[in-house]
Amino acid sequence: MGIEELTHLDQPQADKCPSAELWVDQYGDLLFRYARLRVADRANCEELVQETFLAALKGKENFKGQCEFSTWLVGILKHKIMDHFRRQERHATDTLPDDEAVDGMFSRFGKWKKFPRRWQINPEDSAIESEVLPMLQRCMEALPETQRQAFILSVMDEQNSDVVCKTLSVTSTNLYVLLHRARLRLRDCLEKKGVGHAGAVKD
Amino acid sequence: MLKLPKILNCRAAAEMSCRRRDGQLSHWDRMTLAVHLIICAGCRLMDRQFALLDKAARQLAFRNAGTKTSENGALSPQSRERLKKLIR
Repeated sequence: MGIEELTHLDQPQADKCPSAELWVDQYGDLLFRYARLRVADRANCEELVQETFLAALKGKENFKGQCEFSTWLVGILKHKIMDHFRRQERHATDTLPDDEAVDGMFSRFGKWKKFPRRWQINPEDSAIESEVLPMLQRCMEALPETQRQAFILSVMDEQNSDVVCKTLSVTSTNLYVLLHRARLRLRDCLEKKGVGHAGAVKD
Repeated sequence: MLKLPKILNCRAAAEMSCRRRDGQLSHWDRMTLAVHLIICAGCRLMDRQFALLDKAARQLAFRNAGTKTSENGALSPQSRERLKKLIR
């Protein structure tokens, strides 16, 4: 599953790339959505799509029909997004600043200030598709930049942690701190949005 | 001497639960976490919610989020025109 699903727009004969004037109409929105999910800023996304098309135009002889054309484009975009993350200025320190939102979830003894609530959602359920995913996307947009990028690369796109550490220039210890904070914030955000018609904990 | 898993607080349990998801938890810490999850209903929910969260994130990646009609689902008409002039 995955990339294959993104290819429904392709013509069956995928060994030749379609002529360039059709690209924007056929693949523009697809690439834009792929970027939009991973990069917060709309203008940056449009720029990334443009860079992708330009790179594809330059390198279209390299497309030999080894995969669908859209898959090939998404592959280029993926690299552009990694470059975009890499380019961002980061504090090259060994210690991450505190995350006040996460600190605020626990008492100074490390107990939950507000107990997690039960979500009436079965992971096998189709409700996850219609209810959780749109909420999750909005909650992800609200994450601090580096946390969001760590979560996207590691969890959403299941990239190898060495690659993620290099891309974000963080130590592996800090990567796990970022992921832990991101998950706590997302959990909290989903619950505040009322995921699964939160009821009281009776366990 | 018998070494018993230490009692965790919820904050440390949340961290361990994540580290386990990322494949970074030792056997001993797994046991420590498991003990906490037995006694703490809130963290038991959290642990399951983290699982659901990760699963939902992977689904989001594959679904290529956003419908065409939503604001996030399509290039703006201006940038579409600009791109069309550029890419030919």
